[in-house]
Parts: sequence; structure tokens; C-alpha cells
Amino acid sequence: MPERRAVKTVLWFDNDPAMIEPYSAALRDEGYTVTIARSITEANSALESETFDLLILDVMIPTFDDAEEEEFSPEETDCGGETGLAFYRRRRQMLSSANTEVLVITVRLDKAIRDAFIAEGLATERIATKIALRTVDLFLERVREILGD
Amino acid sequence: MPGFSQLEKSLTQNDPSSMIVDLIHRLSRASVFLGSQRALFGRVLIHDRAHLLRHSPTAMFFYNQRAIFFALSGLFLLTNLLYFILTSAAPEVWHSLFALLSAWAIAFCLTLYFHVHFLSTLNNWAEAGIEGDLPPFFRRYFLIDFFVIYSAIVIARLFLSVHLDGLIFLLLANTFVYSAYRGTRKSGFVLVLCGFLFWGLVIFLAAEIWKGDPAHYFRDLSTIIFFGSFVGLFFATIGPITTISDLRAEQEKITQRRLQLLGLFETVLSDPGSTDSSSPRGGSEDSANGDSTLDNDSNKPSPTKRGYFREKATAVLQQLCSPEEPFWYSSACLWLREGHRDRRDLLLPAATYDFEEANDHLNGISPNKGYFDYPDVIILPSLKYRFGNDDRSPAFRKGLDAPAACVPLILRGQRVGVLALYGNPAGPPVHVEDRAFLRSLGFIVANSLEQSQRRHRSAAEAELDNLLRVASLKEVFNSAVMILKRYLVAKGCMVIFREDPNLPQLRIAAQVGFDKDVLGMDYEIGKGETERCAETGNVIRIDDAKRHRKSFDQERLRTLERYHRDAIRSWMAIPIGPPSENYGVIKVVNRDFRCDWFTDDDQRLGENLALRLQVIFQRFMHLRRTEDASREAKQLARKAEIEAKARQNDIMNVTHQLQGPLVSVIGSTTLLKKRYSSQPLRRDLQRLEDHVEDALALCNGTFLSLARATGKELSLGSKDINVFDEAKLLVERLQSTNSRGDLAFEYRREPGFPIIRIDRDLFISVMYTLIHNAMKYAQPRSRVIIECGFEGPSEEPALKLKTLGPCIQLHERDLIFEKFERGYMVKTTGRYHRGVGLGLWVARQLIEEVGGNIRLELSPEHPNLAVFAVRFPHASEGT
Repeated sequence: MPERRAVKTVLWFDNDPAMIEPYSAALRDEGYTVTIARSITEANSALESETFDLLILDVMIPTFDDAEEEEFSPEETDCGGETGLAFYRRRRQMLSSANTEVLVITVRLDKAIRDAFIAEGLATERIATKIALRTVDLFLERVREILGD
Repeated sequence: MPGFSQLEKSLTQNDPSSMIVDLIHRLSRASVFLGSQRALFGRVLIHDRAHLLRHSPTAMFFYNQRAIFFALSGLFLLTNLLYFILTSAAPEVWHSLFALLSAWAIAFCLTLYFHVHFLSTLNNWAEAGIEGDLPPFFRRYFLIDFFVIYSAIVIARLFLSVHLDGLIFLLLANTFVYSAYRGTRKSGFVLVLCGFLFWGLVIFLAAEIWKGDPAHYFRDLSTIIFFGSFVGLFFATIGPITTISDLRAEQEKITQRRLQLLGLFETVLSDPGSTDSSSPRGGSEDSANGDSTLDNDSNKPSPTKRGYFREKATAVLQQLCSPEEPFWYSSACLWLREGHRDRRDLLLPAATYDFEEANDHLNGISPNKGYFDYPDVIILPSLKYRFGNDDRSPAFRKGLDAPAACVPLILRGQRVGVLALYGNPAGPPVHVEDRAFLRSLGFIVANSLEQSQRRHRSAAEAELDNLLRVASLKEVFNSAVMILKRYLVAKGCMVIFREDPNLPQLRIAAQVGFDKDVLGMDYEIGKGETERCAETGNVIRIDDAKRHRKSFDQERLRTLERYHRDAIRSWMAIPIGPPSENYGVIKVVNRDFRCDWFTDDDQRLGENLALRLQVIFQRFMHLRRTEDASREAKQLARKAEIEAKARQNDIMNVTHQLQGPLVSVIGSTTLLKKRYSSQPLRRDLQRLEDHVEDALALCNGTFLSLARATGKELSLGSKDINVFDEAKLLVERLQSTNSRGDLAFEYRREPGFPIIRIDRDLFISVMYTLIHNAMKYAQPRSRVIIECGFEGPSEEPALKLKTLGPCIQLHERDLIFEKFERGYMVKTTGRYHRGVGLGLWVARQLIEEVGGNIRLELSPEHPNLAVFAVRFPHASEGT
């Protein structure tokens, strides 16, 4: 079991780091340790090696190789949006046991996806669009709310 | 309506029974002279050849009356001669007897002398046809009798000194009788002259009697002559009066019967339901040959089919030729005129009764034969006894000593046929009323023929018109070919269809009467007669195909005959439409009814049906073109729809893709504002953020609307918003990003206006569109009012944005909310060309997504004023 540190740690799983750069920078400015995972392999590696206080998960995550492809059933990979959901569904137990909070963000949030995450036990406020959190203040405010800071 | 048998029963109940009437009938029917001979010797020794007089009963009566008078007077004189010889009479008696015998002998000899001339006149009258009931034969006899008696009286008195003045009664009787015979016709010079002579004699005798001894008149023979003449006067005047009266009475009955018959005939010929099932008795050509057009189910002819008229006409002829008096008709033939391309006009037997000769002329006879071309009814008392210079002979039965009549059938001035009637040698005589009767019968038959043809034509047209309701062209072909075959009475019929009038190819679309393999025959313009018909648009009719065989393509004709399994005897091709719009040809071969060529009536009917078929084909072609156009339009519409959807998807994807970077830019600017406290830098960053916010509002609104339009369910947030403040902030932001500093924004809020629960970004997108439009279209230096208030009976919260801008027409009030639509003024005025027409559609889509709505309020009094009212879905508790 990896050791939990005093500084809040954040794992941000998004395939486009340039897009999240200002927000990750803001998190760092606020004292958070931010780890960026661009792929499933990187995310799995990070989660296995370290315990995070917060997982920021994009709904649409790509698969880059056959190994990653095997993570999902064909039905799950049919739609890009469902890969994030499948990823969360597989690691939900592990995240829960590690007390890792989850924030799902996406540019377009389909009602079906949101309902599916809620069905997996995620609270409504843990699912947000990037537009809703477009300013760093709004984003940090939401993170703080989740982490209880 | 009674049938024939009932009518006959009612008509035969009026037979005369009294002896006097019977005697008069006898005297008016046959020569007494001939009858006496037969009675005496059992055979005819001397034939007076005056039997043709029987066709004029009145003339026959007068003829017989004179003969009886001669016989009785001769007998009377002979008796007196014997008596005076035995009693040694005085000289003066002998003088009287001599004068009487001389007068009788002279009159008798003159009668014999003129009898040949009388017979000639009689036969001329008979040959020319009966004209009037009182033929003018007797003037000569009247003059003979008048002058002989007149001379006897005068000579006896002047030269023999005997008084035969009593004969003046006979003179008077002779004048009476002749005057009565002449009837109402002009009396003429002869009667006037005789009248003068008569009255002169009367005055002379009266003067003599006045001067002389009246006892002279009551002595010996003079007495007998006086009283005998008086009695002669009595009977000579009573006889004709009784005869004429009786004949008139009988003629009235006959006339009544004729009228009844005419009525019955008209009903039978024109009424489909009045056939007398007992009447057909053979002799009909139709019955003998069978009629292919009769309904097989009921064995009754249909009024609309060929053969119906013939059946009816045969029944009428049968009744007409019933043997009872007074009708002399015993056999009849109805000839109908038909045109033949090679033999010109012909008369074909259409209906017959007891006229076997028609069977030898089924292919027709010349209409000029015999009396068949007479313009009016002609009645011949005897076919045998005909004289004169006319060298034409009767068409049939020319040696028969029996009456005959030819009744022309005229329709609209055109001769369409002849009804020929024949009598028996021993049958009843003809009557003068026959002419009017037969003329009326001719009209009835002709009109019935026309009715029948019209009914037949109408039925065919109606059946073809029904094809207008048929759903498929194939069904039209199959039904049309059956209809055409039936109504054109062809053994073989085919519809050769030309799908495109501009192309030379034709194909057999349907056929009947040929093997199925005939469908493989090729037709192409320029090849044969069929194609020539289609090419020229003219009917080609060959009535004698054998004679014109060379005009056909030999190989194709042989092929056609092989498929038809019979020789082609007649052939007709009717174009379906003129050359410019020809849809093919109707082709029929071998007529199967009455004659084996297609008649003018068939041709007319065929042309009429072809015209209807053309309309049907045109309709189907039009429908096909319409369906093709509709299908093409649908394909284009589907393609346009697909393209529109692709366009929407493209826009949606673009706006979606743009949102990520725009969000990042906002994130970056807000991060920089947070990191650096320099006011100028923060101001610049804020300006940058505002621009990006505009772009993001635009992208987000468009994306959400298009996503909604494509059926996607998006997850929207729900947050309490002070719409008044948010709108004010948005205006301030837009004023900084848009160069409309000239506009004055005013904000109004009614007290108690609530906090609205709505997705904030959605609200911003809606308001962005409205405010951005206001900034684009508002008049320079005008005011823009943003007003938060309540409206409607339920006091629903609403935000109104009021601007003065280009006039929006009333009918555009809803139109401008449609996708890619803009107002007329905006489209037509170069100044306002920006935009693609999505803004208001996006605003309405968004507000409706959350249960609100947006509408435009216009005022005719202020055409430049536009009020966009946004009604919100939910109000929160707070204000």
C-alpha cells in the first residue's frame, strides 16, 4: 500500500495536457501536487505506485495500444465517452479504499453519461463540464469543496 | 307494357259480323265479275285483270257497283224484251225498249273498249305506288254513262217521241256517285259541265211536263223506267255512302291498331326490358349464326352490345308479318347500310323474317338495287304487274304477284338502311294508310338504331373511362384490349404501346385472339402498316385483306396469321393520339359480327376509344413523370437533409472543438490575473477574457442547440441566477467587446422579480444572442431597454429586450426564429448582411430546452420597435 503524503495530491487523467495546463498550474500554485497521466498505462502506473487525494478524470480517454484496448470491451470502446466511465467502474473499489476523491470533467456532458456516473455512486457535483469550471477560481473552488480544504 | 301476343288478342276482337258489312267488304276487296265466274264454274274463264283494284277498296267497290248495274240493267232489258214479244207490245213501247237497249249496248261496248286503257292506268297506278285511296280511273266511265243516258233521254224524246225522262234519276245517281268518289278533291271542269247539262235537261223536261200530259210518265215501260230509275238512284247513293262510312270506320280501327303497333314497336326497340320472350321464331340471322356478343350467363342480349338491336328488330319484324288482316306483310328484311372501302356502300341484312334470300347476300347488296334507293316510302301493289319505262326491277321476288314496300331509314338526312316488306299473292291488299304507317315505322327503326348505336358507344366509353381509376398501366392494357375486342367485335385485338412518343419503338402491351408468342413481334416506326398508322396518326382500314395482301409486309402478315390461327380477312389500325403525341396503335383483325370487315361505325367507335385511351396513357405518363420528379425531389430533399445534418454536425463539432481551447484560454487568463497584480495587465487580460467569453457563449449556445436538434440529451446545470444582474453584466461585457458605444441601455425591474433557476451558461447564451443582435441592428444612438417584469394572467417572470431597428414584418414574427432565416429587411439591406440566421433559432432552442420560451412582439403603430420577450421556466424562492 503506497504511503499517503501530507500535501494533497491530484492525479489528472487527460489526454490533452495543453488544455489543462492553466488549471494544473493553478493547482500547483495552491500547493497541490499534480500528476498528469496521458494514457491508461500512465494512469494505472500512477495509481499503483501512489495514493492520490483527488482523481480528475476526463470522460473521453483514448487507448493507445492493444494492451490498453483489452481494458475495455468492444461495446465500451465504441463510444469514447464510455471509456472514462469504464475506467472509473473498474477502479471504483480501489479508489474508494484509497479514499481518493473523483472529479469527472468534460467539454460535452451527455445526460446518459452523467446518469451512468451517478449510477456508479458518484455525486452530481463531482461531474462538471469544463465550461462550468472555466475560470481557475471556479475550478479551484470546486476542488477545494471536494477535498474539504 | 303488353307483349305482342296480348296486343294481338286485343286487336282481333273487332271483326265485322253483319251481313251488309260483309257484303260491302266483299265488294271492296275483289272483282264481283271474277267472283261470279268462280262461283259459277269453279275456275276463271275470263279474267278482267282488275284485281289490283283490291288495293283501293273504294275503287273496287265502285268498279263492282258499275258491273252489277250493267248486269242487272241488262237482265232487266232482256226480261222486258221477252215480255213485250210475248204480249205484242205497242210501237211506242218498242221504241222505248230500242232506245234503252241501244244505250246499254253502247255503254257496254265503250266499257269493253276502254277496259284495256283502264287496266293500263290501273297498273301504272300500282307500279308507281299507291297515292290516295281514290285512284282517278273512273272519269271516263262517268262521262260514258252520263252522255249515254243523257243522249238516250234526249233522242228518245226528240226523235222517237217516247218518254224516258225517268232516266234522269240515273243521271243524277251517276253524278252523285262520281262526286262522292271524287271526294274533297277538286271537281274539275267535267263535273261543272255535266252539272250545267244536267240542270238544263231538268229545266227542259220540267217545261215539257208542264206543257204535256203527265200520264205519259205512268204508262207501260215509262212507268217502270221512272220507278226503276228512282230505285236505282236510291241504291246507287245509299251504297257508296254506306261503303265509305264502313270503310272509314274500319280504317279508323286499322289506324288505331297501327298506332298501337307503332307504340309497341318503339317500346320494344328502345326499351331494354320489354323483350317478348315468346316472339323470336327463327329466321333471324343472329339466331341462326349465334351471337358472340350476347351475355352467355343470361342468354339475353345486353342493350349495350352488338346484336341487341338485331334481336329486337327481328322480334318487331316477326310481329309485323303476322298473317292477320289488314296487314299484308308476310316477310321482311331490314337492310342496314355499311361502308366498304372496296365495294363502296352496301346493304347488309340486319334482321329478317321469312326472307331466306338474305342468307345468300350476307356480304351485302348494292343500295341502288331495285327500289332500295327511293327517297320515300314506296308501296307496290304487285311486284309482277309493273309497267312503264322504268327498267329497274325489284331486288327480290320480282315475279311475285304480291305487294311490296320499301321503307328508307333516314337519320339526319342520311340513308342508313332500308326496310323491305313483302306480301303474299293471296294476302290482304295494301292500304293507303300503309305509307304513313311505314314511314313512321321507318323513323322508329332508324331512331332505335341510332339509340342502340349510341348506347353501345356510350357503354364502351364508360368502360374505358373506368380505366381511369385503374392503378397500373398493365391493368389498363389488359382491360382495354378486352373492351376493344368486345366492342369492335374483332376476333383478334392488340394494344401496341409506344411508351415514348419521341421514340420509334412500339411493343404489344396486351392482346387477345392471338397466341402468346405474338408478344414477341417487333414494331418500329418505318417498318409496316401498323407503324405507318402510328407515324401518320391516321386510321388504316383494310376491308378486304386478301385483295390488298400486297400492301402488307408479307412475312409479318404470315406471322400474324400464324399467331391468329386464321387468315386475316379484315384489318384496322387506329392510332392512339396524333403523330406528335402518339402512344401507339389499337389493332383489330377479322370482324366477327354480321360482316367480316370493320364498318364506318366501328372506325368511329375505335377512334373515340383510342382518344380515351390516349387520355388514360397521358394520365399514366404524367403520373409516372410526377412520380419520377417526386422521387427525384425526395432524393434531393434527403440529400439536402443529409447535407444539412452533416452541416449541423460539422458546426456542432467545430463549436464543440472550439470550446476546449476557449475554456483553456479563459483558464489561462484567469490564472494570469490571479498571478499578476498589475492593473493594466489585469485590464488587458480581462478584455481578453471578455472576448473569449463571447466566443464561448456563442459556441456553447450553438453547440447545445444543434445537439438538441440532433436528438442528443445533454446534461444541463441548474443554478439560481439573478437574471437582471447577469443581463446587466453581459451588456457591460458586450459593450466593451462591441463598438456600439452610441447605444444607451436602460434597465428596468419590477419589484419582486424572482431569482431564476436555470443553467447559467445556457441563459448567457440566450441573452448573448439577444443583446448581440440588438447591438448589431439597433438604430444609431437609440435606446435599448432591458426590462424584467411579469406578464400573463399567471404573472410569469419574463425578461424583455426592446430595440428600435429595421422593420420586421408581421408574417416574419415566427419565421425569424427558424434556422438560417433572417428578416426581409436584414436580407435585402446591404448594411445588415452579417450573420447566417442561426442566433435566434439557437436562443429559442435553448430556452425551450429548459421549459421556457421566447417570442417577438411587434406593433403596427411602431414598426421599427421589436420586443423580444423571454419567459423563464422556474422561479426560485428568493428575489
